[in-house]
Amino acid sequence: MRVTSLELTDFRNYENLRVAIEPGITVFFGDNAEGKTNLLEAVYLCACARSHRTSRDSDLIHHDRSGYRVGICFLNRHGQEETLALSYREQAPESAGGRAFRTIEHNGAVLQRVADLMGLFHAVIFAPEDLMLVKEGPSARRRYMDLLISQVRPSYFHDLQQYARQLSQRNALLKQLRSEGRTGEEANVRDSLEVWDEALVHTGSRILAVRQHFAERIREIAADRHAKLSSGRERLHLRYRALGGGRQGQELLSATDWQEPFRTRLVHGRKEDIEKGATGVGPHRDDLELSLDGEGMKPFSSQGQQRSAVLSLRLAELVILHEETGDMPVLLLDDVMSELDAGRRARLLEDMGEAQVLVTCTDAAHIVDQMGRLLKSEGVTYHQVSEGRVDRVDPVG
Amino acid sequence: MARFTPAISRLVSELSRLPGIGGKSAQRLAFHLLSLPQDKVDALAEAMVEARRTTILCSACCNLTDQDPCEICTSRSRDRSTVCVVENPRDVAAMERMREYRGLYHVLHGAISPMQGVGPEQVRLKELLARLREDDGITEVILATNPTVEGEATAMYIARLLKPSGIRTTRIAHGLPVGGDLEYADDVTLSRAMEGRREI
Repeated sequence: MRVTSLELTDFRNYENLRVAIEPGITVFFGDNAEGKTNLLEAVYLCACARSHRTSRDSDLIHHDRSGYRVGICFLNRHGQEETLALSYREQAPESAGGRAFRTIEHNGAVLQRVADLMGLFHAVIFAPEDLMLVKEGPSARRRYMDLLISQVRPSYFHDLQQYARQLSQRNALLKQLRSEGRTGEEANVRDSLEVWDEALVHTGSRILAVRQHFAERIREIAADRHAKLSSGRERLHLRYRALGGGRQGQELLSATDWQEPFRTRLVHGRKEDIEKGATGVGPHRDDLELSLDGEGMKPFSSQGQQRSAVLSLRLAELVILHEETGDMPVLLLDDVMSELDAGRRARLLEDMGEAQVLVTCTDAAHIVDQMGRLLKSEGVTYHQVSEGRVDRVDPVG
Repeated sequence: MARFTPAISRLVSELSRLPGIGGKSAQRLAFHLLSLPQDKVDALAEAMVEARRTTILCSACCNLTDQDPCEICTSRSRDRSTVCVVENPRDVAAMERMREYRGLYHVLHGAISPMQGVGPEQVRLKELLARLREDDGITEVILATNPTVEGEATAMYIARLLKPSGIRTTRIAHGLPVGGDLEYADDVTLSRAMEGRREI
């Protein structure tokens, strides 16, 4: 998979930009806050329909404008050119209800669902924000799993959307029951709650099974990469903690197998759910637990350990996308080369194989040293980024 | 709005309450109405008033009608043992276009959606249950609510309520559009169609 051009309109600090992207490595260099990351963010948006930095579309709009558009041309794995464009308007035409809306176009045709975008174009991003994966709570890791799986299983993405809606409905009902002072024991209350329980169980069990399957693959690959990064001194442990942990072991369960434990937990937590006005158990509360195994479950102590863990997770993403699609995703390296030491860089270079790479850095000459080994076999194109302008320049140094 | 006469302002504000009509569209419609000859506007106003005044809900199926019970409920050629449950009157029209279903209907006028404050009491479910209790000739209830989160939940709720009664309860299938190519089906629909596959 290879991007051939990128086109931005009113996106972040770009008003109008079109950049041709060459095969091999493309280096965007320039001072901080000139808009290098925005370029990678735009490419990533075309893969996942989500930014790696923000969940709010309004953050992506150029100052004073009312919408943005991001478009890429890329070669699919058969070498045919395809286009993808994502646009967002804060104010829809009145005929569309006047609300903010998004349009996704593939080869000029509007896609009806975001789910239809999934799987068309693949990219993996390595960014400073990745540290959230180890530093923050379960939601960052759920998001990591969900974005990865959605790219290779579009129906999974649809299930996530359905589940979110069902969950909102159940939570709305719980709040209503709470305000009416119900306990959940009343027969008619049980009837209406059980409908939403069953809806969550139906969709949630599918999510649980797919997540568990992928968590297992992530675990294997990430553990292997991490062992190599630490020269075998440390072992990275991953565990999909489903339905609040408990008795489920390593055994992979099918969606049907997950239904009963999930249903039991929901019924069990019903009274508490009404008191809280929220659903306390389900895929929306699960975690992909990370730990370093030395003396039991040791949390990450050093920056270096955190970076290795994060890098291992991203490498697992890269390998899984490659295996699932039979094609190398586009690699987006946002200012991470300078943060990695020689050992970690070498590992990254090893897994990225023949992938097209878009990389940002402040010092173009330095990146040549850092990516030295790759430079011999692949062409490198340099673009200087400054104040919302991107200019191709001759090789530096 | 200050630049409009009170009558025009009122017209614009009434029009903008209609679904899918915002402020600008309301203005456009208002000025269009004002440009029409008086008799055309009278005809439109009369049509609205007349339609609203003569339309009632059928006491049996809750569909919109001008006679009670409605034409479908009183028809001698319909199969009275089957009731198809739909969310709104537009769905009845869609079903009727197919000209194959010969049973009766029941219109819920909505689907269960706690987020919008719509519970089982806010849709016409009581009427359905009363009807099933009184008419023991009904042997099958077809749940044809929309394949949305809310429509599915509503279907499931009704199915649970009907279970003790022993009435055969079915849910319409969802899957591929007929006459289309498999390759053009979206992934989600395709995977649902796979799930709902059956032996032939």
